[in-house]
Amino acid sequence: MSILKVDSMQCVSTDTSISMNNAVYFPTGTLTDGATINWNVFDNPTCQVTLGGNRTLAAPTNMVDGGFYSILIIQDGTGSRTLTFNSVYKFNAATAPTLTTTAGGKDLLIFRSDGTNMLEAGRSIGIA
Amino acid sequence: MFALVENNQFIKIVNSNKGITIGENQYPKSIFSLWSNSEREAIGIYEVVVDNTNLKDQEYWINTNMTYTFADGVVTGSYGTATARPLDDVLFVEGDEIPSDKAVGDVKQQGLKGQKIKVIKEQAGGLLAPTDWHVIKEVETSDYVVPTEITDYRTQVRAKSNEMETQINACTTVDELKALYEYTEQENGTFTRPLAEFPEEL
Repeated sequence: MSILKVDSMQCVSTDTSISMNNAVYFPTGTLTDGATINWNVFDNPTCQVTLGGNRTLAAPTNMVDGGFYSILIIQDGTGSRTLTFNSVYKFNAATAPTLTTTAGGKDLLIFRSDGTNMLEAGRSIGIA
Repeated sequence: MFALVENNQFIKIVNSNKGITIGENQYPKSIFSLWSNSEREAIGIYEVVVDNTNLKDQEYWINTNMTYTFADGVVTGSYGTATARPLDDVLFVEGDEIPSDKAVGDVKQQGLKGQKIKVIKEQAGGLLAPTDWHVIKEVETSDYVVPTEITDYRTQVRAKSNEMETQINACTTVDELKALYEYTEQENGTFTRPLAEFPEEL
């Protein structure tokens, strides 16, 4: 088996397995809150956003087939904020999740992309 | 109850227990509870104002389904003209699809009068039953006589039952029949109805 060792961050392409001796993770990025929230999943595969009002999450940009992406949605100090999802987000039972309404409440959504859509892989609503 | 409006046209009633997709957006069900009317109306979802003008007591009338219109920024749900249920029994006639145990002339659908009279007869039977044993005992034994109080009561039950049947049979419209059962407050504070009442139970 071929092993590729990456000593410094650089763009690589290989057909071999990749092994890391230490944890690999995506630092949490913060999306900009606004009436429409944009998510560049290349820049922020793991991200969070604090909703300051009723918002719409636009179709993400730069998703790739097989990519896993997660978003932590945080209610602001008022709470009861809703999030409308673009139709590329595909949910269990074809029903967009109802977020927690608690001020400061958190909901975590995880998606796997098929390159066109974001398929819900899991959700944790009302994380305390 | 909410409705979806597009291009100033009523499209459909939407289920507020689940999210809704409009165009490319998937809205969670919480928009029905958390959003203001103006926020919902901005995406074409309007609260339905129900007009019950034509809605009638379904015991006596068959109401139409509700129809919906959108005008002046309001979705209104209203009923068409209700159809009175038949007063008299509807009988099977030649050409009807008649069940094997029925024949032409048998009751196809019991009319309102028949239904009401059936109830009254059942009520009368229920009132008489507890004192039936007095009558049976008088017939079957030689030393027993039904107390006058019991006899009078049973006579009154039958008389009132007959009186009510007569009143019901005299009705020529559903409105008249319904009015028989409507209680109104009297000057002395009591409530009475045109239809006779059974005597107080013993």
